[in-house]
Amino acid sequence: MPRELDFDGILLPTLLLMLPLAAALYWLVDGALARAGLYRLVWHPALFRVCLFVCLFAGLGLAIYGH
Amino acid sequence: MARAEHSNALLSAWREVAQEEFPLWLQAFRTMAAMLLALAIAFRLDLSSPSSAAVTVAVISLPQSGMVLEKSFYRLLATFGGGLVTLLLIAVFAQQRDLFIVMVALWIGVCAALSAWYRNFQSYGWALAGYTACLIGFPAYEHADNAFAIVVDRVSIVALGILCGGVVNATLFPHTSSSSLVQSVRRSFRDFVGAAQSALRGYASHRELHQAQRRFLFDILALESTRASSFFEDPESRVRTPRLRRFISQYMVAATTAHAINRLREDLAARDLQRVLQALEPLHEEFLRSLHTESAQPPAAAVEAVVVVGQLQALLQRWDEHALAARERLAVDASAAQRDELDSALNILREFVEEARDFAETYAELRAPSSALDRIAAAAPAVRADHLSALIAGARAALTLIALCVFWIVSGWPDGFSAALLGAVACTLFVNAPAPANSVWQMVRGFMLGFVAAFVCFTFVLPALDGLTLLIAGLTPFLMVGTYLLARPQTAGLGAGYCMMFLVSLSITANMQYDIVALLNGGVAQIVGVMVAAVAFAIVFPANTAWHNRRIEKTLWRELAVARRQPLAGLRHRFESGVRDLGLQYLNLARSDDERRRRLAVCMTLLEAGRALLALRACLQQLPANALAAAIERQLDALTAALVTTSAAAVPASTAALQHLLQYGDDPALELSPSQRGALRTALQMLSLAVRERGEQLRLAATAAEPEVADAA
Repeated sequence: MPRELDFDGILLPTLLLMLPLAAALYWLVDGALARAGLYRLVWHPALFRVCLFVCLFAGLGLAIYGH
Repeated sequence: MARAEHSNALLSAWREVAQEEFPLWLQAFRTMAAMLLALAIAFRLDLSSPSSAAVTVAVISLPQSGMVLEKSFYRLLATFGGGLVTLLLIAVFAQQRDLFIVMVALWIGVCAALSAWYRNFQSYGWALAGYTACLIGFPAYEHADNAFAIVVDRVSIVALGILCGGVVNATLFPHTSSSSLVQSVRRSFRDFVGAAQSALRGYASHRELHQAQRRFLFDILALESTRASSFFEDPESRVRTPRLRRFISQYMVAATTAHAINRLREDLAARDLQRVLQALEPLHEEFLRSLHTESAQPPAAAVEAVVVVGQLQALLQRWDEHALAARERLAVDASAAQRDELDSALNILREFVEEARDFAETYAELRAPSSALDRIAAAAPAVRADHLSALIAGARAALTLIALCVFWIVSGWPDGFSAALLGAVACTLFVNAPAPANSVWQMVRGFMLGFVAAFVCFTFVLPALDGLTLLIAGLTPFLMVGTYLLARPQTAGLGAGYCMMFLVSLSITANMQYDIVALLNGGVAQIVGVMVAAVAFAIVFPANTAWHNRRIEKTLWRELAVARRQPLAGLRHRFESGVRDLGLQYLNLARSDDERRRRLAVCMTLLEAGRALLALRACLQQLPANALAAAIERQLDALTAALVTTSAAAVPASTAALQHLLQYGDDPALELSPSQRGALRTALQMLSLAVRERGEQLRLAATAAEPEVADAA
């Protein structure tokens, strides 16, 4: 995947677009986990959720910078 | 022995202090850790003003992590929105300075007005969107060719501060909103059970009654703001949103009915109708038993509410038997009027039991992460503002900015920008504060304190520091003062001012310029700007004048006209939440405790009147359209109009309309079934209670006001 996107002459880092994508993905996964009641089994839900987001965002980042 | 006692007393005192202080210090440390993190990252990323990132952290520093996230969210949104508008304004007015300033002032005015229309952090978001145009707009205007970069830089700084503040507050020994939401929900239901008990058996004291009224009116609103904060923090609260909203809405409705029942009981006792109350008593006790679990305690958690729902359902299924038994208990020699009184009391009690069952059901449903109830949409509580006050707030902000800008341009003051900016900030930020002048002065005091700290740090500490680690070590003691002030609710405004002034004045950058003159000039300009805002609050439509109070009271009672007019679907919820929102503003303006109690009573009467009016309208819908129905509607219009005027002069008109309504209600020509007739009579009786109470309040207010008029003459 290209590292920068040509947006009508303005070069945008692809990572910037990955951020809202990761946020949307996170919103869905987070809601599903909450509905399933998983967060009751987690010691520190807030930390868990931060890590979840970091994993998702880093995963998408790897798609750009991973090779 | 005595010594041991002494040390025990010391120990318990120490524990008490520690219990109170520990969360505050924890919050102070969290805020500071987030500030330092933001500073370090901003240095690493070479952003233009690392201090601003730390200021953002200070601004979003709040006791609960949900609140931090909620405020962050609106701050980010507002910065984006304000940034976009700034770019637009610069693109259009880049050549015309004066027009640019007027447009920025206009935008700030619009945002300040909108800020008065919203509550809590949404209101803050509008204020911020307004002054962001000033904050970014003026520097960007001077370098119009570079405006986009300046806006992007500003947004990045805010985003960085928010990210650091959010992550640290949510993960570092957080005090979560969701845990306090769970506590509040449980307490709400316990309070409700207590209120039902007092309403049916009588309140022990006036104090208890006032406390109950306060809860009925305002704890419910606090519940909504905790819910909103929790939404941003806790996914479990987020998926429960429809149920929580339902819970809050049903709490409002049931609380008002509890109040109405208390009024009815007092009225029956005052009219010497003890025998009606005695006939009802076993049913009251049966109902109260059903509200408690087997261990005679109110349900402590949602799981225990399941039992209560079952008991209330069983009570309702056998309601007709219970009602019949109550009628039989009324002695044979009871008059027809007494029988009617009993029927009315039974009707309203049944409504109360139904509302209690629905409320308990929603409570019980909160136990599982997902529920069928979530499929039913639930409306958010309505928010009401006095339109004129909001518009004046907008005009005040715009005028203050223009005045400061004119002074800046005419005098050629190099730091005029800082003064104009801070004037706009203070004018928009405190739009909804009950005593804005006090809030602004607290900010001024914070600024002065921060100014002194910045001066000391700048001259003695900063020059001796080299490298990030030393910088952090040097800043920590100064920041700690600010973050501790921020954490204490009484001094939060002071702390915000301190942190803002301290960090902005130091304007720490990678290559520090040691220009003490700039620091002094900038600091003075900011303090002047905020003081001008304080003056504006005192001069341009000061809050809490007699005129303003009367206006809010009128706006409050105008809700009744809305309840008369609007379609019935969802109206009860809108009325209840709207009155509570306005009522809180009305109550916050009260100066003395006596006045506060009086206003509390006024709000309760309004809720009672609205409840009866809506019940009456529901009955009238079932009437065939004929001359009699039209006459009733006409009298109801007259009654509403008389109540809305909020003047003692209208009391005779409202009493007359009420008398007509009561006559029509007894008219045998009304084509209604016995149960419909009973419902109509109940609604009329409740309405007449509220109208009489209101007449009493107005007469008292008129006699209290007269001596003042005489003094003035």
